[in-house]
Amino acid sequence: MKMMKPYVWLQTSDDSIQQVEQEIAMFCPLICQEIIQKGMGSSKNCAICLPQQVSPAMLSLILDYCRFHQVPGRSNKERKSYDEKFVRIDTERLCELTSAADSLQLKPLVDLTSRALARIIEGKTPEEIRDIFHLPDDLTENVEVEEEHVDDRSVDDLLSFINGNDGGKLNILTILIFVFT
Amino acid sequence: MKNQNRKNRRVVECNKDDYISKLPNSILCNILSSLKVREAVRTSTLSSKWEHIYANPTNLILDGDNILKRDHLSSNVWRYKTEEQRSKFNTERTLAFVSNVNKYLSNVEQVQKIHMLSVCFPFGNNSYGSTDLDEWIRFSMKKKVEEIDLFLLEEENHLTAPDDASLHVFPCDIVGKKEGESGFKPFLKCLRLAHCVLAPHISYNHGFNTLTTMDLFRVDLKSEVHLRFLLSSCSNLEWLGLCECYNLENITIENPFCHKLKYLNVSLCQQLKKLVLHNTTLETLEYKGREIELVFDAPRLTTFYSPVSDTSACHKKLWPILKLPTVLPQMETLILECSCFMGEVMKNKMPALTFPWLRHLEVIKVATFRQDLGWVAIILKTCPVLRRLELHLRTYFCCTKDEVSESDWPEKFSHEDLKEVVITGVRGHSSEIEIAIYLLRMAPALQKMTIDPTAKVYLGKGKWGQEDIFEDWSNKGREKVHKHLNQEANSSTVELLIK
Repeated sequence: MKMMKPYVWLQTSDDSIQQVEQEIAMFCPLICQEIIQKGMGSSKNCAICLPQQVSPAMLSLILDYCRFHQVPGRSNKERKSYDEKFVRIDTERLCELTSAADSLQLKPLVDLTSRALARIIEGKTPEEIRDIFHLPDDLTENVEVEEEHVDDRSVDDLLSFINGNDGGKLNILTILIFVFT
Repeated sequence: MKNQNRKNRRVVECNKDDYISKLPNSILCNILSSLKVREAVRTSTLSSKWEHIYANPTNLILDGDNILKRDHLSSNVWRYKTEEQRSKFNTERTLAFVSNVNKYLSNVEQVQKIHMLSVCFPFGNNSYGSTDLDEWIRFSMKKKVEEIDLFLLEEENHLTAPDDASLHVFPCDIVGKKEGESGFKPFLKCLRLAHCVLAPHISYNHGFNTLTTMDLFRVDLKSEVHLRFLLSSCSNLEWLGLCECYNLENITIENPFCHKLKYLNVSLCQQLKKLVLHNTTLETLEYKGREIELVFDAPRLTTFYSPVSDTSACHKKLWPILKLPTVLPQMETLILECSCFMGEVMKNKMPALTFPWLRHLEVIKVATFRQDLGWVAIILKTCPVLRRLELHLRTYFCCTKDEVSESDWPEKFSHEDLKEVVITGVRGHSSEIEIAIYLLRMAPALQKMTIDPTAKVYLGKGKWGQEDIFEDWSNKGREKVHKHLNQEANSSTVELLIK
């Protein structure tokens, strides 16, 4: 007789209960803990209650991800190109997915979606970022962070100071004074 | 005008949901950690929620690309014609780098824990910013840093290495001091240094105790005594790499030092004369360089990686293979990287050798036009108990039109133990097919043979890379290999896998 239970029962945030392949679901550390430590999920009556962040739509996305990566023998190239396509969804769903993956402690997916979100932010002005994510512009004006701040002394001063009369040889003491003033 | 725009927009925004800001702070920090520092800092102007998120970085990645404006990137130095202008540019660049990092660190002062500090910028001994660099290290030690990675060479031009006297001296007093003696409780697990001096004093070496990985590239170790101080404190070290290190004539790793060491890599240390290993845990040694004296008493050391070359200096001695049966008779795994003409040298020199315990052999072999693989038969005779053979071929130009023939074959014999053969980088040349047929016939116990057109490239330190498959493989090569090998494999029980 086969001893392994191939399916596990999961309850999502809308209180609906569904059956999924245990092997796939075990990819999520949170579900894995519930099964191994608490013996949950073996029947509909003791379905594993997933965190609030996991809607049925997100669960199905996450299981797709796990299903792909669970298959052995895939090359790194295949995995990479799958991952790339996987996060090509609108930003709202991407945020939702990040949050759901985080609540299931699925670190590889959290990293993947976080990097995708970072790529969206990359190279954009604050205005553009606010537009994309609908962020409120609720900061008082003038809290602009200086991007580049160079030493007050002009470089020519510094050069002549360092080069000094010493024929270009660096003097440790002058440099130290420089650093601490 | 501008204010008016902003006001209008604000009204619209209130109707839409701000999904990203609902994510937990830990995730927002995670997102920012894959942005450049400049970009991460800029997110503080987005909204009130984002104002302080950037101030909790998990890693401090301090390199020119991250910290400097585009004008100050090192590649711009070629815009300047005279030496004086270039030196002015470099000074300006260093000033901006140091000052930006200091400002950034003062903004993230509240962070509880830093996982990694990485600095990639050219700092020399007592040059401007070198004391700042020490302070950045102190800052990260205070924040329980686990990895320190200092790469103090110019990012794009590794050749402009200043002379040894100008190397930055790694602050062993900051990192190494005992807790309680104004030192920090050490959390440091991994230390990677490039282009600096590492010479711990006997009383400043306590902080190295927690290290499991130490990778040194172009590091001046000053003297054997200092290396001894260093190794004597590394009681948790498992991985040690010494590449192109200076002032290193003898490396001695003796009990009871480094009693957890599993992997050692010694590469191109020019002054090295002798490597002494008296160690009971070491499993893998990777050596690259000229001939040195080897004194091994390491019973668990069974894996050896080395390149062999046919250059005149090593030609006659076939260094280091000829030495291995004497110094490492227990060797079970051998990975050899061979230059173009090594085949001929191996044919002549190998018959005199025996590797009595070698079970796993990988040979990486480069050729320009065709692989002359006659040496495979010779090498098999020297390894009577070999179970797994991998040939990683790379042929730059290849003609697949030539005929497969049996006229030129090496002498026949039977290898009783060989169970698995992997040949990568196959392009469909007859020499590749011939050797595969030869192996199928001479190894009665063979269970599996894999033919893979993807060339595997050894990247060093146990890592492998892949090259793209050549076009001629799908045009002609695959068909040719299938035709010849399927025919051969049909008459045996071998599982043949052609990728």
